[in-house]
Amino acid sequence: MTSSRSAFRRFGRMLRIALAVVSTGLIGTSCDHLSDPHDHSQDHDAVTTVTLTLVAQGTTDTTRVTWEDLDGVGGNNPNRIDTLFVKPGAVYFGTVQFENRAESPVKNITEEVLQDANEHQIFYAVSNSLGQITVLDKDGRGLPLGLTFSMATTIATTAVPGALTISLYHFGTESSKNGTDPADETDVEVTFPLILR
Amino acid sequence: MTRRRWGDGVVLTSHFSDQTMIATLLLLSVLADTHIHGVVRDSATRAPLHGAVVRIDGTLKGTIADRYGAFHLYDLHQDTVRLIVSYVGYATERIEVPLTENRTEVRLTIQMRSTSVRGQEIQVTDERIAHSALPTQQARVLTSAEIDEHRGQTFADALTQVAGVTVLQTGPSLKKPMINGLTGTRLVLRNNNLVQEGQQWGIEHAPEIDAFSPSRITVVKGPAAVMFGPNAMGGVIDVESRPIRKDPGLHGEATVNLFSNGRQGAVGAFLETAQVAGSPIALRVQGSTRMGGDAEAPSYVLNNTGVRELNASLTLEMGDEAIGLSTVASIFSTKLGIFNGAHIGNATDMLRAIQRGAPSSTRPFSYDITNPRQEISHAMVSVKGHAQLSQDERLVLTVGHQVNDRNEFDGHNIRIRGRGTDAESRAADSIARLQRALATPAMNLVLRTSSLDASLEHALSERVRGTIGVSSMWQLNERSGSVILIPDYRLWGIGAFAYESIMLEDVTLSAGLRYDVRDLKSRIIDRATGEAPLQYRRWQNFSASIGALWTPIEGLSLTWNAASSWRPPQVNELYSNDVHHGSAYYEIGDSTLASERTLGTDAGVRYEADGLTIEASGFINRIDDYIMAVPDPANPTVTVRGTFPTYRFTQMTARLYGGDVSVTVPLDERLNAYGQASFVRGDNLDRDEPLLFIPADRGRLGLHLHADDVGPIHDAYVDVSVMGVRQQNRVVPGRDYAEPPAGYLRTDAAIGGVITMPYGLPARITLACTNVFNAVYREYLSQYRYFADDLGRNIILRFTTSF
Repeated sequence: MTSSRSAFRRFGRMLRIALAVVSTGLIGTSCDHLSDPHDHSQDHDAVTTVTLTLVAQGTTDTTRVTWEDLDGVGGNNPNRIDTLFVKPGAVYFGTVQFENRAESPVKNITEEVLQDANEHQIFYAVSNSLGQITVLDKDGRGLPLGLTFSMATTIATTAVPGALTISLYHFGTESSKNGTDPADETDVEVTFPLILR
Repeated sequence: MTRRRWGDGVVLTSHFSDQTMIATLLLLSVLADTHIHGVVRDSATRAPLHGAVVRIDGTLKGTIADRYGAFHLYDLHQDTVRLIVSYVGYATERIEVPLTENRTEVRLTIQMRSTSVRGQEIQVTDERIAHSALPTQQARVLTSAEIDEHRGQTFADALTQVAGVTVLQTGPSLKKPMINGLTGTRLVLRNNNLVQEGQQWGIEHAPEIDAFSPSRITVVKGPAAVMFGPNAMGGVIDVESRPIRKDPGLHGEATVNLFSNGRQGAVGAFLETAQVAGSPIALRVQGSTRMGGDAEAPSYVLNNTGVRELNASLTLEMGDEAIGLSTVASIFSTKLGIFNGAHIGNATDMLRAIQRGAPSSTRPFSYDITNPRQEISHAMVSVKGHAQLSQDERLVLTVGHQVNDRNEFDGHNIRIRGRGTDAESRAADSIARLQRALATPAMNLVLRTSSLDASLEHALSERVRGTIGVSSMWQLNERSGSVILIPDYRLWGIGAFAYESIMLEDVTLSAGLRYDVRDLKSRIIDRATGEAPLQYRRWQNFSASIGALWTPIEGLSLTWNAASSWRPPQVNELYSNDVHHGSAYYEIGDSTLASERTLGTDAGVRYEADGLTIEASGFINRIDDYIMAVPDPANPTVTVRGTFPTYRFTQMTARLYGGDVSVTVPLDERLNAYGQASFVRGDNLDRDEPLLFIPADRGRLGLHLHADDVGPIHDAYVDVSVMGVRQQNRVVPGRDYAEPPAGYLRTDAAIGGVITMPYGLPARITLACTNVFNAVYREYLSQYRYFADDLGRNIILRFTTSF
């Protein structure tokens, strides 16, 4: 038993040395305090709002629809998705606008797309053959850009609703944009319900 | 301690009444060179004792038995050498071998007697305690020699030689082990006596362990919760630092690994001494580094899959068997590129990438690592002290602290525009903003864990011995960045356990019981309101296990275990709320999840005779309230980046079962054929459908030719094997983005041996090649399978020297 007691004492000494070694590290965790949420502000450009403006050919009839998700990806689903109503057998000229309205002042991302037109392209898709979209503008290399477009709606009146999907792609390099294929990563992909009447 | 001499050409079998050992020496031939070739086997099962240490008494010479139990000693100059053979859990053997001039080559078989099966004596040594499984459990020890031979580009690569162990991978540099279909937080990974506390919940989170650390690895297949707490429900991987060599002088080892695929190089080295400046302190200093570029599939480069790694560790040991202290401090740091082809924006992008079948654009090979990427560091200190309180009692205390710092950098939306009045200032501003964005992680997690464990190993009688103890941990996670997969949280846990083994004549029985409490406090950010209220959860429950080991005849052993354990829900399962990049789904946790409870049993048989080894095992596990993310097709997540499928963590009754078999057949004295096969089945019993991400059936067939001496090369070997993997056909149609990939065959080969370099330094050189025929294949358990083929041919050169 004597030997075990002296073993205990030696062990105690060694343990004290050991504790001194790790105590520096332990101080960091020893308080039970969860700090306030961290700030997430970054330089990344998030799009919260997509606005589509359509003017019927030969008129000043303006239709404006908005898709908006102010709390960004996740959280609540989009707070606003307007339905786009258009006339059958008509031609519209349209523009699209991308904004970040979560920031103040509101950041206009359309300008950035325009400035880097060679690295961006906007694609449009209309479901149920309700219309056809033609991109009108081109980038510095003569490839389609897509900030302005025309839409010809089908003549046959139909009760079937459809959808207009707008996709914005950012290409990592100019050379990866060829005018027909999308980029690997989608920046924006929003869908507006579309009804002819 | 027993010594014996033996005569020329005589088969000498001795049965000693000596409490520690029996030994059989077999003199097979006498040739013209001063060599000893031997095989170390278990006296009862005749299993080769891979990793047994053979030393020549009174010299610095020594070696380690290989996977076949074989060892070789060369250039012996004494008339008689005394060998000291030691192995974990076995009584140390001392054997005198006479070497007269006409008897210069000796072949012998050394049989070692296990102290665990017929423990006449309670032999409690450092190595014995390090054994991280109950005697009845299915555990496989990988020794440093074995790890050397199979070391790949990640820590997990060396583990896949164990039947039933597979890897879940996100590319060539990100692999996490899976045991019998369970992975992540259902396995415990121990590193230097501490449970490694990193971010283990994600598929893209590999263990932060240096593949070069001088260690032995124990893989425990099956529940080990009684020993290691609730997360060990699937098994344990225990990485133990090798004890520092006790003979005087400075020793060291240097290893260089070169890989053709990814043009990767890795260097590791350590120096150790048993006496620092004459003091009784033993010290080891170790470091390693790794640099690799883009990995290559057979027909294209996988861009941005490079890796950098820098690791170091310091080990201090003092004291002896009676009382001692061992301290390990280590730092692991890595920077990993995430294959750009796998980083996609939304579900539409994912489907397009899958339809394309190959990366859209590939750049030429490069060492550059760009976004998306991960930067991780893991620092730890572990201090373990032991004191032999009496003949039958030993106290072990372990204090640990670890800090895991994980930064994930996103590749998305690097569309930065400069602000300014003129073009020049706009350009300058945009560069500054871009650099800032690239340097800012989308997710930063700092996880600090402190732990304190105390255990008392004891012998209740001659035949009953066990361990009782308490184990506690304290953990704090701090996150920042825009991605919310894991909240800020504080977790503490405490557990008390006891396990005992009874050693009867040819049966060993074991039983264990444990009670754990886990307490979690989290700050949950509500993305919609921006508020961050605190949430509290606490769980507590029992784990229990029983088992038996039976050796009815020599060479045959049977094991059986049954266990029930639990696992509390993990923070990601409770509170995750974001997109998982690389798999394009939105994952939502459920803060009301309850604990999982598993009830399982496994059985194994091992037979060994005349070089023939047959090992088979099977398991079945029922997990109530099994937590898994399942799709919620009615509520897709609509974002400005498109629509994502929503996955919600839910609970179900799951059942996993499977088995594996390994066979080694001696075809010739020097030629072995070996085979291995395993299968796992997983089902969601509530919905009567298979579970996702269960490994496909697989097997390996190989030939191993071993020659003791080929010219100047000692211990030469050639190994050729073919691995076959079936297609995983147990899937739910339409649940996954793509059908499981087809089955495949992969051929691997290796050739190696030991040569003597100048100054008498031994050099072990291995030239290996994986995927010899550059086969195009995809692995079901790889996240890259959606986007690209798996790795092509990889030629590996390994070089190790020691002194």
